[in-house]
Amino acid sequence: MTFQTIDPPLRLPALPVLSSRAGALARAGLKRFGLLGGFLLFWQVAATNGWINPTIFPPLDTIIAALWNSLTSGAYMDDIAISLQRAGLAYGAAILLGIPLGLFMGQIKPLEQALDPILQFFRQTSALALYPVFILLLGLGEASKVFVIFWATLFPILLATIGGVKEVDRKLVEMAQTFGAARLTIFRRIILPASVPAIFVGLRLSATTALLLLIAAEMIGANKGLGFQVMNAQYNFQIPQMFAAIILLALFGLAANALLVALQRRLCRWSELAR
Amino acid sequence: MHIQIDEISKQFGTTAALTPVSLSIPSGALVALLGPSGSGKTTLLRILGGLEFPSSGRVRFDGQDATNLTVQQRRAGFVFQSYALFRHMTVFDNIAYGLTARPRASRPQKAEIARRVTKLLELIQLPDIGGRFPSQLSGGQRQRVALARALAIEPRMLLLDEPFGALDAKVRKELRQGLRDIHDETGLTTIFVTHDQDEAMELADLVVVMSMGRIEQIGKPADIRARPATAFVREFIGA
Repeated sequence: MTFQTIDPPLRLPALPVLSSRAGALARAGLKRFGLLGGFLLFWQVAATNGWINPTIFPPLDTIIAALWNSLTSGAYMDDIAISLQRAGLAYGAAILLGIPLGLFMGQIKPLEQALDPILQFFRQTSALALYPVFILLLGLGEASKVFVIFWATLFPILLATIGGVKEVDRKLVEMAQTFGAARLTIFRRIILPASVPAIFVGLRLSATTALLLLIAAEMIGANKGLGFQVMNAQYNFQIPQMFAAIILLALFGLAANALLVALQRRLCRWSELAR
Repeated sequence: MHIQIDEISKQFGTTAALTPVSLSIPSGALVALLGPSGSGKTTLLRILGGLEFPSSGRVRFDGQDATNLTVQQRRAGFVFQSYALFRHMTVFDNIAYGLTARPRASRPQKAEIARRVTKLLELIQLPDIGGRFPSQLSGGQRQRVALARALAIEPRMLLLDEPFGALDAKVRKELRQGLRDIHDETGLTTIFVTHDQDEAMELADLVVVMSMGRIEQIGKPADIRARPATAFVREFIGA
């Protein structure tokens, strides 16, 4: 208190600036998250007052409590680990195969033209429809689960990479050739960096698909994993636990996307600036 | 460098882009290849640069046969119509590209590359934009960066394909003078393609009017204005 009275000129001008900045921040936050907040608030109020059936839509605080319990007690740890392992293995394999193959195919027109109809056909074939085939071939264990996710994530990455390479302006390649740049130099310094934004579109699409297929595969034939837990909680009518697992999955999706966006920002500052 | 074109023709499939044309370009000249689209002017420029090869005829540089030289052996500086700047590289890296893309053995030292790029940025009168990306530049700035990149390799000639095509009228006028100044300063044999007769007449020492894969007239701008050789030239330059 004494400090304030000793030095009022410092505090007085600072206060309106601070409050207006905080106000602007609050307004921006309200714009972006206001509707979501309203929806959650409505859920909570409606569930506690019995406007909606609380056995199917439990109040949010019970769901949060269930989520907190399952995380702190370590009940979901094994499931999270196995789910991340399945999705990670498949996604990693799809990246390791899809990007190099796409970079290669995008540059060799006859190859790309010959393979494109096959790729389009496979892409349109639902990976889930093929899951029984993979189970027949690979059994009901880990291999078929990882493979079905791999299958579904490969095509977006592959097609986006091919598209990215194909869309690199031929004039840029020709310009590099006039400087006598070797094929490898042109690939490394022109074609590859110019395709990175397109590749990231594929990566982000595939990350979503990976989680989608993970859950589906775990619901069909698993006794562990977050997808299994969602299904299992529903069978046992542990509805808060079910929603807790669903929220966890959504958070993983958001985290994966945020990670990819951050990586893309880092790698292609030039394309961010163009916007 | 003196450039001699002897009876060059070019076929694309069954269509003739160039019927045999001959042309002598004195060393240090600023030459305009003027004509409507489809006149063969760009094809001729690309043949000079080694991006296309003629179906028949010879190209000589300073009397030496250069017909079969590859694009890099010809050491031409190119500016394309759309500039073809590398979007993911800074202006500095764009200008340096012709040097950094060389094999290690013939690549200049880093400090030497930096010195040259800085000098070129001063030459195009944009000394402070080295750290920017092409997307942050105006059309006129991009064109000047493309010109600097072409000059970085210390070319034997400068080849420009519609260098002012994508710019508005005011910037176009400014940059014409800019190109003229750079030409006069470097003394490079410079050949540019244009369909704009004002541009050709105002900028070039020597104008080559082309139509349908043929050369209609070669001459100083004033001579072409005063004495158009054919009906096509008279109509095209609006004399």
